[in-house]
Amino acid sequence: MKVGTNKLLVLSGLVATSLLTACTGGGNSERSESGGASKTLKFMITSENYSNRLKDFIAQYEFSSGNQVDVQLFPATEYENILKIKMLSDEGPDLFVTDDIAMSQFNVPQEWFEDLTGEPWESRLSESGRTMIQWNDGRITGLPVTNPGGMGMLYNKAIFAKLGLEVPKTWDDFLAVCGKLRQAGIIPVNIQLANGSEFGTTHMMHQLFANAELNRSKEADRFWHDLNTHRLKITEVKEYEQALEQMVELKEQGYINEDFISTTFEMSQENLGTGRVAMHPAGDFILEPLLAKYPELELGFFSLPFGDTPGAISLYAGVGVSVNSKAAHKEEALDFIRFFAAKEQQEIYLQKSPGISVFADVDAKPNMLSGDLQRYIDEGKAFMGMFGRYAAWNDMDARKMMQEMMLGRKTPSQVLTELNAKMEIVAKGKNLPGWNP
Amino acid sequence: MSSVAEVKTGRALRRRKLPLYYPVMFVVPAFVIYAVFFIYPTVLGFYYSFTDWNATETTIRFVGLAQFTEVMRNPDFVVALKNTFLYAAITTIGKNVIPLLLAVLLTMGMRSRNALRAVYFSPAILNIVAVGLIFQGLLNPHTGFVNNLLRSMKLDFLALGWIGDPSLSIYAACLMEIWRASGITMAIYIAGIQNISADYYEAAEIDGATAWAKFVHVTLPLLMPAITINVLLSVIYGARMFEGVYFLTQGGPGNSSEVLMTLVYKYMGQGLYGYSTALNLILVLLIILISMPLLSYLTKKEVGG
Repeated sequence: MKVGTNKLLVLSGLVATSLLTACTGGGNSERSESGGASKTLKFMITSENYSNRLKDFIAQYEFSSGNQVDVQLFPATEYENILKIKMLSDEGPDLFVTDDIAMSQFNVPQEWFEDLTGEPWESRLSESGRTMIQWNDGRITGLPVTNPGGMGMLYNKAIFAKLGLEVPKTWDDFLAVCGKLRQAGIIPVNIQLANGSEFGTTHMMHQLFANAELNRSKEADRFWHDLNTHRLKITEVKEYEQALEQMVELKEQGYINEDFISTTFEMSQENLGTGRVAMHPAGDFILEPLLAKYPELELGFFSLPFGDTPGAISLYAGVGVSVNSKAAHKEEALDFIRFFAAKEQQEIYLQKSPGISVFADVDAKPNMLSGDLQRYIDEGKAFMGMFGRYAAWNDMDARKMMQEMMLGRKTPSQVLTELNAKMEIVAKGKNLPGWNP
Repeated sequence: MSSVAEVKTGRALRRRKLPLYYPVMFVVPAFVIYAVFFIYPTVLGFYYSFTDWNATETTIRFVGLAQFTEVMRNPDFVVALKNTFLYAAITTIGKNVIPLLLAVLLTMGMRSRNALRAVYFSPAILNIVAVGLIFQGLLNPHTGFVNNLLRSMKLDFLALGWIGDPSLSIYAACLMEIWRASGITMAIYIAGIQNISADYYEAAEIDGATAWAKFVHVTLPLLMPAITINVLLSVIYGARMFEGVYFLTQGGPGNSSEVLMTLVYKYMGQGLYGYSTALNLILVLLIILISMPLLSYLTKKEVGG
């Protein structure tokens, strides 16, 4: 049977058209307004960070403004890729979140972010709050939707009180405290290094590394500039090697859990909650899951001493909400942020999940670590972690290196050398200035 | 129709040329889909491996072989390359030797062979992510079922570090894959053995061949097509393994169980798209370099059945 040529052409045309339609990005940057006074803002966020308090806030915003918020949820494992696809095809949301406000300057194109510097609420930021969320170039591009915080050493107050222990001020004092805990049959320090949970140990590393900035005080900006432009290598920062040597010493002295290589985040919570360990390097992000299981637990917070000094702590900005620079409803998105930044809204927000605020005038409900944390901030001994200041930093490589180091396969010096080599790969791959010859 | 008429009709049909658009019409739709969803992305992927494509810049520049040079200088690359070869070799041997023996046993006349076939095949239907997570629990050096069982049997010397020991982690991943995928190769071998005519075994029996001689001189040669398929697919699958290693060890402890695909994933996650594509291209070329000669060699060993 002969098939008509016309039918063949029609069939081929249909196939081709359907394929082309599927491939079209629809990249029309000029979107028509929805019409009327009420606008619908698109807000992309990971499902894991869409908390009840955020949901309540959005409901409050909708009621107050008359606008609608279309919340688009994606699992964390897919979020970044979907955001990239949408942004690159000019179909990005009006508002989106990033893993860490400070870190976002290094992970995604900076052009995505609307510069929020100069917004009315900026003048209300505390000095430490500004430090947490500001980019290296001084820009402010987001506000935290999860509580910002600090990384240091959490300790079981009951165990310390029972053994008559004080918060140590020097490294030798700290080792003495560990010795007494060991004698009492308690593991002094919990190290968490199971595959996939290594972040528990990089927290200790980041906190000790913060001493490099503490020791440079007014030269800190220059320090980061030199690191970021490869004029200075991490192998040349003596504080970094000393920090790692202190960590290794803990293991050599027998002051950590023997099963550290299989200790997960959940096991760390159990170790700390049951009193099997007295101390765990972490931040206040651990409080919510920990206290849910062990509500009677009383924890304190201090910086791991560095040599003869009490040391510094490192800060993290937390998951932040930002405005898309090409948002279809940019003015409404900025209003959303302004509403979120309002004193009253921030106080309600922090009432539901206590912590510290980035605003100076917000009366935040504190958690059991906030007082200690704020003290370090007020004393000028709290600094943004490497991940928020060093463009070439890769935390995944650092986590793997922590395993190698604590298993005794690499010395601190070798760890820094190999980390430096891996930073070079990242930096060259991202065409960071000063890294490509 | 009479035979003469049939012959005349057949000749007429053969003389009549079929229009060209008949085969084209059937091939084009499938080819278009194949080209759009496979050929085009593959070629584009090869192109991107020669660029500096990354997550933080919106422009993409051609950089020639720069990415490949950086890959060669990466300290993790040598480890991942070694582990990839090791993983492919060990899993190929494990997924072929043991299943072959099982296939021979399960094609003998034992009563419970059907039930046993189902039992040995069942791991193959499990999702590899689930298997990875299960084995994480089994092989945890301190809390895992395997070590706890060994310790309870006073066999502490056998309670090894498994996924927590850098010198053993890649072998733990191999063990998991051999357990999971042996059922598939076993099923192919069973089908191959069942296709061997009983006449060959009868002739061998008459000639006084032992069981081993029958296996070596009858079963193996006639099973070569199945062996070729299984070995080739095992090598390619092993070299491209990602999920099994990632969900068991994440390439750790350190980089001890890192393979090329986990490295590709890692750099893709860091936003170094050009770099990871270059790494992937190296892997593809290695697989082609290994599998083509292997296929040629194995095919020559096949005999007619």
